[in-house]
Amino acid sequence: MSYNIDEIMPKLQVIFREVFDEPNLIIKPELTANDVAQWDSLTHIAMINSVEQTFGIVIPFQMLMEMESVGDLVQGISQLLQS
Amino acid sequence: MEKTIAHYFLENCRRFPQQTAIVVPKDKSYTYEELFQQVHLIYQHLVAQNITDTRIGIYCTNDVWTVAAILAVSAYGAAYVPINPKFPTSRNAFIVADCNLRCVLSSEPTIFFGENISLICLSQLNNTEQVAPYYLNPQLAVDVAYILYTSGSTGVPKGVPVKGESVAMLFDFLLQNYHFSEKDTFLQCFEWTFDMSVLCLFGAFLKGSCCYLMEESSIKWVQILQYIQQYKISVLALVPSVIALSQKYLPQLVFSHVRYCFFSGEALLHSHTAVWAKTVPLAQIVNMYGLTESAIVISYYNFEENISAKESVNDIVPIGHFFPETTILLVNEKGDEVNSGEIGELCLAGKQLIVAYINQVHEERFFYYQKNAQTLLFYRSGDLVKRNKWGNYLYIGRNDEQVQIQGYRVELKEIEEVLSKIAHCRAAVVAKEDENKNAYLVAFVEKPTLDLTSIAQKMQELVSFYMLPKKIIILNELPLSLNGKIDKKTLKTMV
Repeated sequence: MSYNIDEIMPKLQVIFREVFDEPNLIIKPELTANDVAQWDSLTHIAMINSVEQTFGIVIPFQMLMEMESVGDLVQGISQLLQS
Repeated sequence: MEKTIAHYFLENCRRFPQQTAIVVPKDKSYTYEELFQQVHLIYQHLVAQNITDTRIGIYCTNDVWTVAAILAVSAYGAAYVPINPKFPTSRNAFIVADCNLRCVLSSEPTIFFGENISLICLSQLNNTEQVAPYYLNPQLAVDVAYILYTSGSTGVPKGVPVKGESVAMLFDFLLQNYHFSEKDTFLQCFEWTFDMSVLCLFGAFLKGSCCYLMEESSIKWVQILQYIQQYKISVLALVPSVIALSQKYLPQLVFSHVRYCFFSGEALLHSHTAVWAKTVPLAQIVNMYGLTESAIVISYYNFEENISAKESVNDIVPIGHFFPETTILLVNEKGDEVNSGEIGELCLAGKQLIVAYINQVHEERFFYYQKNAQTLLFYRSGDLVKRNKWGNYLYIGRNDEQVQIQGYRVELKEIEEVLSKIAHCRAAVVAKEDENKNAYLVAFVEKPTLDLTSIAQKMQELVSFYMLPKKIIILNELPLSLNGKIDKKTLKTMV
């Protein structure tokens, strides 16, 4: 299945709300772990696993290291979907 | 005058003045000579102010001033007390009061601990150039090097005064058994309030190595791996959680520059370590057991995959042998010594152990016992261990409700006390593990008087970040066991 960037954000929002246990969370490209109380070492893995399952991708570690914000995550997902 | 733990640093200022001593976030590096100038500046200020306090607080951030302040206070001959900006104000205020601090060093001028506390703003000190001969005479003769606070089961944190002599014993052991050099690069990835930071920082200064300080990050394990790779770190001290969290990614990484990797703070799993060993193929991996009360670490087990596979119990790598100066006693529930090979509570005696907590005269964890024809003061660890046929000790579990959360020691009772007071109800906290065996906390409250958001908010104000439950669940009634106690086994199944 392929997605464009506009389709990625709503799906990510669902994942973020569920994993970080914040039903009203609105995600934006500039959002980072510092902005979400429950976004820490443990939940980061759960979030990445959920992203990989949802989009059918595998995020390599080198890319994971560079993902600091939701915007980076969207770009990474988009790149992996196109490759 | 006695040597202080800063003497290793001062010695290497003389040997390697132009060698890089530390690199702080944003890649700013300081040579031993440059760092000495900052240390000297703070030290001279303490002398000029005629500070006679035996304990000096340091408001710790990951900048050069924090490192310089730790070294300056140590060289001055006083005990340093780290204060963590990430801890709740109430906890920091408790530490300041409990240690009776009158002087706090900080690079931030705006913090306030009370009218009776003199704040020395380090970034505002006037620079006076001073280099060779790199000598700072201790002005005080305090035997305590630092005081750290651990979780207390009564709901109150306990101050642990660790002697310079105890830390020096550990460093002597490291120097005799592991061969650090001025070419090594250490990573300091711990909070300054966690004793592994002492090992990473002062460990780097033992032989004139360089120490990298990490930037703050909510997702620490990713950043640690990034630093190891980017800065070619050669000596690492980690909590096992780091390799537990990164298991999935380790096969993608090879860090051939890592020479030593020391683990402590939690049970180290053999299956995780076997994967990690392939990521650091040239490193000697060492599992170490320690308590804040035992000057960081007090045992060692040099990991070799095939041997460890035979010796590990419940997938837990042995904690190995205790340092030669330490006396070990394993006791049963009645306090009697168990037979060889049986499980018992680990009790430790020796110069690496503290003899009392701060301001706590009667503490049940300390007791006298006759061993090897000597009456020794033992510290009761609460850890259950046994000795295997090869003479290595194995960690089996706890005999109480203390848990380790990413290396931090947490008394569940301390969190329950706070939660009960906030919500005016009965509360229980359990530790669960995710699929990678990473522990996290879940709290249960019985008909609280506050809503969940208010409870969570107040908790953030009162307990340290690593003690915050991942989830708080409201119940009409907490389940009870047959003897009327809160049934935590049932609660665990409800998560």
